[in-house]
Amino acid sequence: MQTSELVRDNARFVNRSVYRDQEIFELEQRAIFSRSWIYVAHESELRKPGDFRTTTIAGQPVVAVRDKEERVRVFFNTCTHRGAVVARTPRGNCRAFQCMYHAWTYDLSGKLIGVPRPEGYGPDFNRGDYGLREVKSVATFCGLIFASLDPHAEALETFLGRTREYIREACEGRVITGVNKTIFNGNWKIYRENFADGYHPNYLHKLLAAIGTYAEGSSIDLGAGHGLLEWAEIAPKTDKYRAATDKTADANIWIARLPKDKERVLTLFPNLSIPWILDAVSIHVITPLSPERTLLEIYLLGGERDTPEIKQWRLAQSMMWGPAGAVGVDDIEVPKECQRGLRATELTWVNLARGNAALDRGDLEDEQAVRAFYKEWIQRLDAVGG
Amino acid sequence: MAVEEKVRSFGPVAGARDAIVELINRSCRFLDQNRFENWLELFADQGRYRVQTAENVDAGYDFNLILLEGKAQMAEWIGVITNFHQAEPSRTIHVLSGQDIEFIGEDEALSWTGFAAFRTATDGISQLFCVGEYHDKLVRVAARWLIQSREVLLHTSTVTGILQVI
Repeated sequence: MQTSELVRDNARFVNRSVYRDQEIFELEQRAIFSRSWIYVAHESELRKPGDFRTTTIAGQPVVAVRDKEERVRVFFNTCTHRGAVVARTPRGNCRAFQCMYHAWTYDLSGKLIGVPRPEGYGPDFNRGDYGLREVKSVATFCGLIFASLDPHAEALETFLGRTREYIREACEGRVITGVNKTIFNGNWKIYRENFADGYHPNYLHKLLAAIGTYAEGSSIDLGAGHGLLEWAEIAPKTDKYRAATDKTADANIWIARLPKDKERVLTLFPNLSIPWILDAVSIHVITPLSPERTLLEIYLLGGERDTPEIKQWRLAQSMMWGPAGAVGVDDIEVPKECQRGLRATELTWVNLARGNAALDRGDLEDEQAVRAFYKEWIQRLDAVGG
Repeated sequence: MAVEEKVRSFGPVAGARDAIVELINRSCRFLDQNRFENWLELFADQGRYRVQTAENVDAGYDFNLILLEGKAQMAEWIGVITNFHQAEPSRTIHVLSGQDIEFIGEDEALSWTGFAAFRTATDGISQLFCVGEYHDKLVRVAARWLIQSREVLLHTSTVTGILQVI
């Protein structure tokens, strides 16, 4: 495969095969998901020793756990004996991980502490050789826990670069208040692009267009594959909305109550999006399952010190996203419909050419933030000699 | 008081039971036929509709996929679905278990129903969409049984595709 044929003209054009090709999908797993910092859990999910969360990195099962010394560790979620997962649920609390198959037991630091009838392995058997395999690169920023399968990964803060100030603004002092999940039949990059695309909301999201929450702003390439959309918050124009829903403005939950200067959608390389729209903040984790199938997990965030009223307000606005989301329904339909169309192999390129590609910042409907992703994407693929 | 005694003490419940079963069946038929306005009419004025996934409940999270308090909010949501969402047209079929109905007053009852919903998209391919439970509170208003609240507990925590109302 010639990766030089996949992205051209400063990422203004991307080859349609990147959305459907199995070979590219496998290369992404090696070049990107096995080497980047990947979000694995939120600190509020791992409050006490023994709290754990399971997920995957590059398709491999991992478990994040707070150990007895209150350190967050990440292990491959597989027994070193015969391979069964040692943590079977999405989240939980345990004193030790015990494999269901032969009861091999590991403490929270991954050390193998129990093997039934070990004498059967002979005198050379050493438990120390069979601890859970640990993911060495683990770091936290503003409550977001990341891990990388690359033991020599650059420091997380270096990787996050200019996104840090926006992550702080969106995520500092927040806790997970819920999750929704969906699987859609589309390539993962389409959903990822969608959250860096400031061109679509006024046209795809008829609800947003009716409410009028979307105004002039910027699309920004933050470097290293990260992007940002930001726009000024404006008052809802509810007449059209009222006409369509036969409702008064009092019942309209799509207004912001809490002070902030901008509406923002931050996209982190490779597979994370953090929209902060109105008063709802969420973390969208986009996990590729195959070239044409993707798992989307959306974690809703609330403030640690929210009053009950604000908490309810945020929960109501969190209904914006996901498979039942007032806006999210449209976002989940897009990858599916794009994927169907992208199977037309007679056409070669998708067009990401809005705005001046030489600039890092463009108008909201320009595509700086989308191109930011593909510039890094192709660089990572090239780096492994694709 | 045992359920049987309660039932006896509230007089002629046989008709009420049939009416409740019909109400619940009808609520699903209206959804399956995209007759959302008719579906809405099956709720009492202070009606409540809530959808949660078992994963959120098990984790102790307060998040609802959908929470609509009162008929006004429910009408708003129906307005959003029918006017704004760009969902691919599809057909659904709800398959219901039998109802477990408990009368808690002459004009009030609780009901549990298990359900599975199948969806057929425009490509004609049908698939199991989601599985869950309806926990309904029902009230009799002016001789008509209505849904006071419907709590939907989705066992399906990872939905394939979109879910607007179930």
